[in-house]
Amino acid sequence: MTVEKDLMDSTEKTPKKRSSKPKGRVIVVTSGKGGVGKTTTTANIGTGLARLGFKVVLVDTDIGLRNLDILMGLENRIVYNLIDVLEGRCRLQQALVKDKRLPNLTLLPAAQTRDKSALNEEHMVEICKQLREVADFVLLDCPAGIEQGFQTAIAAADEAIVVATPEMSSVRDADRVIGLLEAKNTIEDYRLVLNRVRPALVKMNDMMSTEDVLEILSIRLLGQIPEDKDIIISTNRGEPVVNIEESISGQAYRNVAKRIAGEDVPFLNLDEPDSWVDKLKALFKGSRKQA
Amino acid sequence: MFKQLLNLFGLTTIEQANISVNPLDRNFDADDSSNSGRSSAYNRLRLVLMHDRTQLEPHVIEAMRDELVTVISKYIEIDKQDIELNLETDPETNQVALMASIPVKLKRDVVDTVKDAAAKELSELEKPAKSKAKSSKA
Repeated sequence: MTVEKDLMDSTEKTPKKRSSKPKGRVIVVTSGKGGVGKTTTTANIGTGLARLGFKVVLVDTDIGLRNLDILMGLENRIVYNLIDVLEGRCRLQQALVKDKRLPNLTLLPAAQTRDKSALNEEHMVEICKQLREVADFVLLDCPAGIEQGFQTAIAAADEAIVVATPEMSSVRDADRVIGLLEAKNTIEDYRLVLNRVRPALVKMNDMMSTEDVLEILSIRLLGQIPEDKDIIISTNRGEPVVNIEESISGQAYRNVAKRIAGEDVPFLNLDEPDSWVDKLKALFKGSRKQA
Repeated sequence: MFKQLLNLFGLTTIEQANISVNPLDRNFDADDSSNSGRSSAYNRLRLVLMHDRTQLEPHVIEAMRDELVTVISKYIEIDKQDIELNLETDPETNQVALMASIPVKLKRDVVDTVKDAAAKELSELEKPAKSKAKSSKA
């Protein structure tokens, strides 16, 4: 380990304040099942927090299958990665890639040509110890699965964000992950981000609602993100959707960031406005029930 | 009703603006068909998770059921066919409980006379219906 105290450099502007400032929070974003939106959630929450003025470092812990760089649109700016830092080829500060827009947002990329065994739990704890000295939030993008890569990613975290979609397989895997997080007594808190919510399908009783999932998992909600084509479009442009002001999913992520920062933001109403027919139906249904 | 009337004319009350978040509604109505995608996903998932959480496979529960029957039958006469043994979760505490419903047989002669009478009545009712069905087929 030659990571030493490189990161201290970045706080040179306010060296005296640092000791009184509380250390940054390390939050792992995890899901168990792959493809439910972990990396998208990490990119957007991290960017959302940076937009609020916090110093944020995103860490891609998915060694060998890195993707966070692509979602952030930073894939062409990577010189060094997490493993280079661990193996002494560079200083931690050199491996941090600055965001295109936000100077207080950086990415620590994963190595693409290595495998998960290159990173262990002690490495993770050591890296995070240094990052939390200089950042308000350290977000760890966890690999899919519940094997070593997952254990490594959660080893250094204070809090967890569990990402799931309202589908049976995703919720089942999330339940396993929650069990493992609970067993880990270093994790003080965890909440759910429910991704790809489709209010129209819930309304038709074709899909589980957010409340169904919360009840089954008995977990607190951090945010619900609607299924939204803006996410695909913005991902293709290398721009987290949270930066797109008029997007509903962007709004949902901005709210999540505020909640993490401690603000009490009401949950978004994802309902499309009712049609006349729906309103009439509801009216009759209601009167029948009361009778 | 009042709120819905308001809503019908495009008005909302403050209260409603807060609670009408549809994906957050968790009450599929009693009149909702139980085979909707939503409720079957919900119910299947609950069952799967109970087995996951207790790490009990369905066949283990079967074995346990058989042993329970043997033990309880030593002391009391029970209806072996109608025993129900399920894992259930208390939605509030999330505590998983093993729920057993074990019907106890009344004194045999009483039960049998009641049963016989019921069976007689049933067969008498069914007979004409069955013969009708047959004749219509032919």
